[in-house]
Amino acid sequence: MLKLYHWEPNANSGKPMLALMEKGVAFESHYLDLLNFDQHKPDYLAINPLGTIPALVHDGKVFTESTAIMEYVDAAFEGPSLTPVDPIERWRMRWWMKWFDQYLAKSASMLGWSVFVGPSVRARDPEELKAAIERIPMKERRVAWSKAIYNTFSKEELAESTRRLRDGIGKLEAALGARAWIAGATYSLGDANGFNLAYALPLAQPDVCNDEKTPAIMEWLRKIYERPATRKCWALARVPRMGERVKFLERT
Amino acid sequence: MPTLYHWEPNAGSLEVLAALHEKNIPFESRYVDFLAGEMWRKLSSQEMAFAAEMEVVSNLEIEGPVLATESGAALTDSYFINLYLDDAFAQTPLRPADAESQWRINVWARWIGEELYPATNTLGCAKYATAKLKDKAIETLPGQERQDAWRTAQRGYAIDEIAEARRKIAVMLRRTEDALAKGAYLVGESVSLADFTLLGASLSLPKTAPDQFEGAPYTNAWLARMRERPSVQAALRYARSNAPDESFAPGAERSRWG
Repeated sequence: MLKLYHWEPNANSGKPMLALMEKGVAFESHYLDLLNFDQHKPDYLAINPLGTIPALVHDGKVFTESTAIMEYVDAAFEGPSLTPVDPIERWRMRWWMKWFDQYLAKSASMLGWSVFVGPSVRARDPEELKAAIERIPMKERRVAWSKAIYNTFSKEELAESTRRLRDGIGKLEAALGARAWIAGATYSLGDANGFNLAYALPLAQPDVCNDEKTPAIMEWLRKIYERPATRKCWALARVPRMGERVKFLERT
Repeated sequence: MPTLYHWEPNAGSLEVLAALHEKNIPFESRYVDFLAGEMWRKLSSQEMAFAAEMEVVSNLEIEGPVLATESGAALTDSYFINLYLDDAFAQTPLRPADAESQWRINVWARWIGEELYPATNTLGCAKYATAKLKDKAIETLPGQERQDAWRTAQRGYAIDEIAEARRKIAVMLRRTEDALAKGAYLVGESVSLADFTLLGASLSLPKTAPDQFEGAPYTNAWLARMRERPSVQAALRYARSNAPDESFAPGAERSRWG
């Protein structure tokens, strides 16, 4: 039996969702409402004591870390391979997944939490929010939630995240201008990983990420959006604003 | 045969040198002084023209080894170089074949690369590199993040940066102690890429965090075992200094978010 604990089909939660959809592997979906702190409640902490999402439960074993789960899904299940055959393309796929996860996503996420996650929960009862922060197992996550809830981001860190995002758009455009997909000639986990983050770039930085300035990024996003697996994945969105967000990628 | 551009056998350079020897892959060694910014000063030279490539300049290790393949590709990120070596050279596999073990190795590499290595590198730079960093060298470095990392190290790290590095090391040592109490290696019955990744990030711990490392007996015994391996002995012979475990260049930043 396969169970996936996840939030919206976006960012980290969306990575294993999209990999499973591409492989055609059926799974039991367990939606956790990140904005309701479901991921820090005792039921879920019994599954993943670190309180991070997503988590995959396969034959009773728990798998965490979204990108590592994607590689596990591709290796453990039948279905079309999402890892290139050529060892150099495999290297490139992994290199870019790390760059997406640890460079671009850190900046995008910080900005996203400052404009969406923080404001979505800030109005709630202050005592309830304080208790919610105290329940978070990992120090890094407590700091992130605290910054989002009390809006204590420094001007400098937000400016640096914006700089990295805009700079990163240029780097991604150059890479996608040179190759059909991020690792090379075939669609791979790297593209699925990248889409979960990069779909938001034209929305967040429209003056530098658009059809005119970054045609390769825009075409890559549309090609991924058109895949049946991506459609199926985003049909699981529950937050209306999330589900609507990708629709700008429809070709007119 | 591939060419490895590496520095003293510590951190990523040690990780890849040891894996090459463990797998008995013939390669050419090119010694590059990372702390002197040699990789970047030779940017325009014929031999290191690859240093301008995106995956080299924007490597998140900041300063790390580069593997130039026979086909002309320049590969960076020590763990991913090692995965490439394991994919491309079938002899002596350094990962079990099952998907679960491979997931475990990936998770170790992620924890070590994102948490332990930036922490040990901060302590190592504070102790051994800060005084050696010169403005003139920093100005020639490519990329804003690299210049920022070098300037932060040059100024000296704030007390809370050092405390956070020590906290991360404590978290990681709890994890390695748990794993190594149960078996001789991090994943499975024999040595794997996870062990070589930990080796690179922890070789210096007896010097940079001696009090913390002494409190981790299983990890101590593991490091002693790893140092005895012929592949690691061979890797350590690339040292030009008397103390490769004191060789640090500013690098990998700790996570900015979450």
